[in-house]
Amino acid sequence: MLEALRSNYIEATALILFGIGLATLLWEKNLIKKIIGFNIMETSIFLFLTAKGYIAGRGAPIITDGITDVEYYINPLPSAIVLTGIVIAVSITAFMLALCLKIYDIYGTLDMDKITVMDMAERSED
Amino acid sequence: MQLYHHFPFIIIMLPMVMSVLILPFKNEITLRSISMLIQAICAALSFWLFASLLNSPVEYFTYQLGSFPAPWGNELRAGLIEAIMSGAFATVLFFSTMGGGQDTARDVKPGKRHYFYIMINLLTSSLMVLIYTNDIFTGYVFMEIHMLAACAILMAKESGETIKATIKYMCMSIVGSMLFLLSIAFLYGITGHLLMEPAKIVIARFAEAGLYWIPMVLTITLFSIAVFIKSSLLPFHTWLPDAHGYATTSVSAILSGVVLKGYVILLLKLIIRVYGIDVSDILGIMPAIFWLGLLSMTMGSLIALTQKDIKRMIAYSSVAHIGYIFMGIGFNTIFGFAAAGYHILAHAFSKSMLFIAAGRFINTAGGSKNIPDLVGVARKDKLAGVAFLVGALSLIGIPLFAGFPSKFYLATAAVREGQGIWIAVIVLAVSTLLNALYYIPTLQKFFSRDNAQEFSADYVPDKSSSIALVCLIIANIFLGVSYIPLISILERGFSFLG
Repeated sequence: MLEALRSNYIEATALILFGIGLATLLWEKNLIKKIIGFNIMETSIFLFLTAKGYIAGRGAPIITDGITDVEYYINPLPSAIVLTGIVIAVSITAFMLALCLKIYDIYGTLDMDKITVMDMAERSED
Repeated sequence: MQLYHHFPFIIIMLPMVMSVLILPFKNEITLRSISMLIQAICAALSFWLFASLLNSPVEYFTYQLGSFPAPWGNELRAGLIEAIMSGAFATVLFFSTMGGGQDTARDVKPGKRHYFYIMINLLTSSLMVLIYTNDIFTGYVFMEIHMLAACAILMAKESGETIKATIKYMCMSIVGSMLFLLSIAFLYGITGHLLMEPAKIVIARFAEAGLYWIPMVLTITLFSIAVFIKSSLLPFHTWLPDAHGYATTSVSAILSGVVLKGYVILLLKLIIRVYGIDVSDILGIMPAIFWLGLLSMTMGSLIALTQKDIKRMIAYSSVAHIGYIFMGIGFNTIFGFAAAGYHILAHAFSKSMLFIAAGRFINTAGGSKNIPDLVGVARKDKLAGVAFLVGALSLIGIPLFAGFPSKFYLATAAVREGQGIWIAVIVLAVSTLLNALYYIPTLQKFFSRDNAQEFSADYVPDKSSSIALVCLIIANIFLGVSYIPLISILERGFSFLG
């Protein structure tokens, strides 16, 4: 068990980070903290994928000095997945931040609990 | 290569390219007409593809994207299931956009209408990718685009309620997406493939040798949970009522009609095409899907009983009907998948019609969504009344309407299972009764002559929503009458999906 952890310590770290991110996303009330939690989760998966694609002693998968032999480079596919994932993470973060601006304009707070309380008070007045 | 081999690519690229090209237009009618034209073209091409496949000796084909061939590159796959689902979804999108157009023009601010229709087109495109893709990671990417587009059209109303609902939806959906991506990372780690067929070959080998048991159970569980969250199966349904209840009419119709089902189709493809029916049977996830489906069927209907808000009631009914679909998947037989597929079609056509009719009722009543304020409303707006009647009867499962054959086939699939899953038949009956318990009294109130409310004559429903309702009624009756050829086609399609 301990030996397995030692040889896969990057993957183990990635999963712990994933847990931290998930807990932050679900339990924090503040929207900005929720977004931070999402980013930690996404980054932990990138760490996991990058670790899976890495082969010790080889270079980045960009052709250098005209060498086209596969043996000199790491697996490029996880890197490509990570790049695509970063684009997705950026767009989701941007969209969430835009939503935060909108909701701050309307309610004057980013705390989801307070927003819910305000909504309930409004409904009981009706 | 024949002409129809290019159709899946065109069906995906046309809405995607057009979503950018419609930017210069500002007029709501022009934007809506262009979007509807695109959806109509997608639907027509899908049905053409369907007819071609039905008459051709090959049951399906793959279409290579880019310059790398199969085990490395990206592919689309089209068979009968893909063609019929994309055709049905494009049709539902078309009628939903058409039927809620008047409300869209009112609810979306003038300067933002072109953005709204950009998102509608992106949604069409990403939905088609979810159906046609043969690559798991492409599925993930377009799942995210699908989610962002759905959130964007949901918040287009820009009231406090819709923005709050969007945030709820996003936070839940993101958890699902991350689980999906994590699962892809694990699956790639053990199989080394992202295309479905090569991954399936490796997984079959592992299953035979008894290797990588835990990672395989983990990946299929994570994929399933991700789809449960995104298509709102019961314990993960908390975002749905707000999202569907507060959105503008066409968005409600689109969200519950097609957005939820895109993910279900992707899960079906993962179960059948990546793990295979036999392996997923051994991995032990199917009973969980089955039981959660049963839970969702009963609890969704029970919560719907307590709702006073007409749109929230219909939204909770969606939770129940997603439960039916997952129950069908949970049988893990070809016939079960076909019955679930039939229910996907039946629910898509009925639920979008219910939301459009409810939107017209709400407008007639001057904006009130409370059922007590809507007493007698169907006498004022007769066409919407008939549409609501047909939709409700279809979802209850009355013969002649779309919901009857699908429920009948779900029950048949349960009995055919061999061990005789009687609990499924019993819950099906109970859930049908519960469906009737909230739809029939609502219908009675809508058609009631006694203490009917006074409705002002300010609101005149536009022609396009009437046309959409009439067409959806016809589609419902068509699905309810011509079930024998349809179910055999679905069965044939699913048996060749693997």
